[in-house]
Amino acid sequence: MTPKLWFSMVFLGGLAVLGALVPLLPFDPNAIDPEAMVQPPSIVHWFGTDDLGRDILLRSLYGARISLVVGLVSVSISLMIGVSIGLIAGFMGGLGDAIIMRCIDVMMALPTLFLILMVQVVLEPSMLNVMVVIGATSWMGMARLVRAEVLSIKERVFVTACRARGIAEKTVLMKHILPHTLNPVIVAAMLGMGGAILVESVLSFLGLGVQPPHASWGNMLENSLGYLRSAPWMALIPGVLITLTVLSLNFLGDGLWLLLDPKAKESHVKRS
Amino acid sequence: MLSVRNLDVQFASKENTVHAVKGISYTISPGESLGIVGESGSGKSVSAMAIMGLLPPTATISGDIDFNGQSLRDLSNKDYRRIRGKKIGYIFQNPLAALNPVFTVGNQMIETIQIHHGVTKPEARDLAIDYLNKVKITDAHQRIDDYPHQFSLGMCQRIMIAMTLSMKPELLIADEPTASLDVTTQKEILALMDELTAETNMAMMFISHDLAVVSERCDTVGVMHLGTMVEMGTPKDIFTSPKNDYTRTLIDAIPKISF
Amino acid sequence: MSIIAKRLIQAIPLVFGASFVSFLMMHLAPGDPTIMFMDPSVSQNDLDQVRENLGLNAPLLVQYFHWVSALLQGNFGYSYITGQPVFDAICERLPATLMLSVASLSLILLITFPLGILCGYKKDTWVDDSITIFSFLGLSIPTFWLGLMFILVFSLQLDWLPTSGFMDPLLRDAPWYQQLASVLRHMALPLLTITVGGIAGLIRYNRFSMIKILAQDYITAARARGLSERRICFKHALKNALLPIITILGLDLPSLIGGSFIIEYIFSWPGMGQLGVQAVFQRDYPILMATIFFSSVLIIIGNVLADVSYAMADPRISSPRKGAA
Repeated sequence: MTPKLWFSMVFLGGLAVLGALVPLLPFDPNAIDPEAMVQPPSIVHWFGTDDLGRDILLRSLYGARISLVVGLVSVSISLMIGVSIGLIAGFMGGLGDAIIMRCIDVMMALPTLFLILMVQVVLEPSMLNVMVVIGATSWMGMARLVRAEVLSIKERVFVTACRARGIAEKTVLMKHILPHTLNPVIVAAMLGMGGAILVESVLSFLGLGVQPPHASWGNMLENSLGYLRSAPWMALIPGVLITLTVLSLNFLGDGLWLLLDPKAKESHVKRS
Repeated sequence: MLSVRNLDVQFASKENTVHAVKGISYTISPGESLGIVGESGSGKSVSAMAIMGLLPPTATISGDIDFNGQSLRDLSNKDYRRIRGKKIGYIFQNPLAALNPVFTVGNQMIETIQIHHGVTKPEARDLAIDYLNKVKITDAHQRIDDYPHQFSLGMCQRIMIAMTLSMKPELLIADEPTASLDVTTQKEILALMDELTAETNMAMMFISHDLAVVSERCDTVGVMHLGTMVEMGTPKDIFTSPKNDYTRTLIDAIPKISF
Repeated sequence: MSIIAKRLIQAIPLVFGASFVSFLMMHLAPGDPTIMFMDPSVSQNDLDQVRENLGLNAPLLVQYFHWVSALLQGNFGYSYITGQPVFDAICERLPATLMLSVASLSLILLITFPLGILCGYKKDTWVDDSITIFSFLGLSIPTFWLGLMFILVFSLQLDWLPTSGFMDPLLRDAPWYQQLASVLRHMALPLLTITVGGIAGLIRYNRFSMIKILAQDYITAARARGLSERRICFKHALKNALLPIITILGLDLPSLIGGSFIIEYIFSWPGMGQLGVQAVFQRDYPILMATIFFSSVLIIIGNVLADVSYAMADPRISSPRKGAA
């Protein structure tokens, strides 16, 4: 265990526990307090208050709930799509594989952020939409990764041996090939979750993600725009939280990768 | 000329320590050739790399390495560079891997010659072509501008030999120079090396896993096993009266004794 | 060269794919897609005529075909808000976007390369550790927030640089060098923001490829020939390290371009990104569509350029093997 991994586990674990417990507290994150508007951090309000006198610490913890949930759900969606498409492409090979890969190339050439913005504008911006849209536009890297793994595993002797024993193709795929792709997928999922949290923050910052009055780190930042000079803590705190959360996920991904893949250093710069 | 005494090399990592070379000693006199035989992992390449001073920083080395009366282990990196290549040449097992893929063969040869002989670029180029001719590369004056991947493996090894000899070393360390080649190319390269070493009368350390190949061309043969030198003597002694069980296994493994 | 031709041909289906997705998105948008094509000043009669001509009841693919042929003639439709032809609006914004992305790309390369090499060379020392931590931080910071922080520090607190825009409007009639200086001052912060975000990922790739290269036989062989460390690092390792970076840059292009769009918006830099984000707010679908399409084309061109330069830089691809000897 490196210090980086300790930091990540403690930070993410703490955030998750606090986020889970905070609704049990008798405080309302949307409670407006005209007596305490735009106050700098103090004993009463550790992270200060915003323009409506709402406690930033409380709102930050509610924001953590949103970020973690959005990250988890989006990554699960992108995992499901990416892993299945990668498995299918790698296992089919030939023309089917070629067609799928070209489609992925097209998807990767599109500016995903605008695609997401577009969908959010057309649909009603809601948390569910945010998660689905992020998941649906971020699976391509995962699919490429899984396909590359399947292609290399498929050539190994034990797969041929399975076939020689008369095991059905589907069983070979699900029982013998899929588990071998898991390690790189777990790592990619960690990094993907960080990416999803970043995209959610951009969407909410632009007002197309989680809608006020619900607190999310992104819309807290949007809210801070008019107070950049007079109340910099309003912008500082959510940004630092996003950075630390994504940083922890990146550290975790990197640490797991070194842990799970002894040849990590050789295989990092690889193009499928 | 070269004297190695109680050379000991350990590689330390977080989990465990590998004792690669356990206190071996040998000497090579001018014009003499020493063969070192052993299976992979027996420490023969590690001991050669220790002579070049090119082991990674994770290695802990003890013992003495003297070259022409000078202790190599005390040398600064700058002084060591005057020994490497210029005094002690090194031929690698995989010639294609030992040539930089993104520079032409000529570029790498000219650079080497210029550094060690202080000649101008055109002179270095002429010298390089001479040496390529010596190792029997056809159309050397044209092919000097080709990249390593444009040559066959055997040709690459010829180029490596040409490059090493162009520095006129006093001692040549050949680390399994034919192990990555196919059988016919192996014979050609060995014949070429015999011819060129006879011509220059330089000392040689020939590392191989093949006892027969070493015995045919070395004055002394040392057998290494798991980091120790289990036996050392003339090829004849080793074959007629091997003292060590491991040496006997090696001899028995040779299909026919060619001597 | 044949490699260039081959890559260009491979890129064509990608462009069509991107245009097809843009077309589908347009159908997703509420309202009648015909209206997007039309000069708002045309009469209802003409509109009906065009609907007829376009065959709006025709199958989707036929409609797509009509749309693409309009695209090929440079007809991207008209902005809902200003009525300006979309193609003109995009062309107006393209120079600012290209200026910012070319500048940031060059800066990213100039900074990443030596740092990554240094990191790989000084592997596991404090230099390596601090650069690695920095690159992790850079990967994790939301770029738009970094932009805000730069505004907070450099514009609001220190008052060194302007917060947003392209050029001081008072300099409209000033000599060109004053205008240039003003543009550069306005570009500084967005450029810095994009560069910090872009550097982070590349340094890590650079470090890994350098570590990999330094472990190769040819590096040991170069040392065994008595070459100096400086020569080994800056000649033998450097050129090999350059090659994977070209590929990685090509792969990173979408995120670089995507990231820079938000930055354009934050700093009101008059490029395609700002245009696109504004179009999102104004529900100006024709503009949005064209932004999506044009940025895909930019990304595809970037990828082709990366592949071609890789092929030219790597002798293993550009110099074919002669007959085995």
